[in-house]
Amino acid sequence: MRKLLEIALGILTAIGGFVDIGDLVASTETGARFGLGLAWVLVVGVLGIMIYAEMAGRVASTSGRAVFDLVRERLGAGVGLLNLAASFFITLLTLAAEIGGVALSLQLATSVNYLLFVPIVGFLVWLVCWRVRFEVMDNAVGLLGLALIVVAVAVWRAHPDWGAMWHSATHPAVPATESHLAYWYFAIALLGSAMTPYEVLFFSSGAVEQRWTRSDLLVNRLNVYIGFPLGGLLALALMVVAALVLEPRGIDPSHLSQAALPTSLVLGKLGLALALVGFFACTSGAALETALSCGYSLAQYFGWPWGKLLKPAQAPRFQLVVLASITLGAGLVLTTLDPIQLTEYAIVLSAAALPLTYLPLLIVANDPAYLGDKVNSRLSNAIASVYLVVLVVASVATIPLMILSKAGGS
Amino acid sequence: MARRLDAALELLDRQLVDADGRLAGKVDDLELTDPGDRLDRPRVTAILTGPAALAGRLHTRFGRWLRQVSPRLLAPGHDQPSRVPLDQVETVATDIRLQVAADQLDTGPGQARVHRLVGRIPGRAMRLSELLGAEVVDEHDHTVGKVHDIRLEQTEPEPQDTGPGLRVEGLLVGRRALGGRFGFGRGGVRGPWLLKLVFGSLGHDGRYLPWDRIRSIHAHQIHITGTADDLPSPQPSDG
Repeated sequence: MRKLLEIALGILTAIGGFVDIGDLVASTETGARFGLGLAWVLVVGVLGIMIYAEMAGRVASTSGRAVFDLVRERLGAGVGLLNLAASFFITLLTLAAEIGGVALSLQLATSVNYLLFVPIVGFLVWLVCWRVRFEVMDNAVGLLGLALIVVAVAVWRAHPDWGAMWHSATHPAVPATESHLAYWYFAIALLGSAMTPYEVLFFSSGAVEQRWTRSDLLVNRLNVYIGFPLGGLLALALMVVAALVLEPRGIDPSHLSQAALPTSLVLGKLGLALALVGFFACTSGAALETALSCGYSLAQYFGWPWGKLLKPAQAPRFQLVVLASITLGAGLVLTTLDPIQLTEYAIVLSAAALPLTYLPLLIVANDPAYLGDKVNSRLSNAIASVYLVVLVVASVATIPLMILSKAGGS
Repeated sequence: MARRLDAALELLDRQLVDADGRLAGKVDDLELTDPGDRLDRPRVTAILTGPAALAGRLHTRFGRWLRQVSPRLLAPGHDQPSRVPLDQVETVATDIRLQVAADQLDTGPGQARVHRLVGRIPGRAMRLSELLGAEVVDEHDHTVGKVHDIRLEQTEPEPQDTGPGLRVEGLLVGRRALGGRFGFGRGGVRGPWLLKLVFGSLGHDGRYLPWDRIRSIHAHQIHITGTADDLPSPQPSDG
């Protein structure tokens, strides 16, 4: 019974914790500009993160090694360091974007300028990283994030023409108003938002923090195979409401309020309130995850003690990195850089960096020295290999597409 | 039973875990001691860890920065790497378990004295990283390739040893090292077919250089007796 509760809780938090500022922005923007023409990318992305997160969880449960440990063990000190620099920079950008996202959702609720919230949000994020137990933190933000289900309710209450929606999702076409370059640029952005590297980094470090062992392999599978696709459905719902409400009106979202607009149009004030709670929860959850991920990646590269299980005094360098990252992230938002634009760059750069994290993980997941008899099956290797090719192609194409499409500008 | 290990693949960059289960840094380099007698192969005498050891492996601007700045910034008094003698090592697996607590590791100013002392002992201590990447040249001055790993033999502990005895057997030499670095040459890694195809083919020209074929080691160049053609292909390690 206890085990069952634990599993249910794990799945619920996986759902509520799936969406972050990257998904909010990418889903809303692609929905508003391309309708459901890019929905297939979301499906591809969610399946990809499932395959690799399951691997990361399995490696962590059987060997106690988190992802950045493996990066260094497989790539060596030099290449591993380059990888660390790239991942750390992208995770830091994402952290800044998430802090901006929390502040923007507070602005939407209070009409007080978001910049005033940034230092407070930064401080609170640090306080939670410093004081709150891992499970409590993980469960609280995950469950609160379930408020986003209101977006799915809005889709249902909008009484869409399901047949036409299915048709446009399965017969993707570039709208007449958009260029092919912009279409593919946003396809990559959407892939980056779904497969953000910090997610596996955090997922595997979390598995080590919660002392997962071989007996938790089932929990790992259920979290990933049930929680992730349901979380992905929330991202899809954001895209659908944007396609239903924003696209016909020709609104190109450039502010977080426009991600909440469709829900409030369909469901009224209560819908808006719940959507804002959802936005707040998923961005603050992701702010915590990215802040900790900054510390995890650096500490795991250098072999320092890390984690929230340890008292801060036992993992001083880890805590110092987390604090410094939050300070830098909040500082970046305070420069009045537009958080939405920051998010777009973070997810596009994530897409460019995806193979860096996923290649070492795939190699180790085949190594019996780490996993014993739990190495990848032929099926998961086949799927993961196809994904690796896709990720490498996307990674090579990202920067040229960014320049040619002028970052998807319309 | 002696067990074959590839140092770069299976020891370097692995996690150190102290006697209390705390993380205690990475294996940043290995100290090899040449007994001075040409017939005897060098032994691994210590694991080196910390920024000062890592910096020696990074031939980049960051490496130089780490070498100059880290003693002052990261670890005052630690201008030498922390040195874990091999007899304080409990087990070698996907992580390296130590018999001592992290705060008892041989670090700090006392370390410098040890280094001066070691300097006087006959035989020469070198670092694994001095061998990695070195160019191998045969007696006709033809280049054989670069050292991409060091094959160790883990012997039964002798009565006077407390930790695992590790001795250098030979060097793995090849033109390209990527596949080896990822562990595809190793027994047991069946790997996704695609990655084996891409990285496996990169490691095919590898050769094994037994230690007794080495004539001299100078400044990143290793001269051997005989020619490249009579070097065997490497056997997979035992992982």
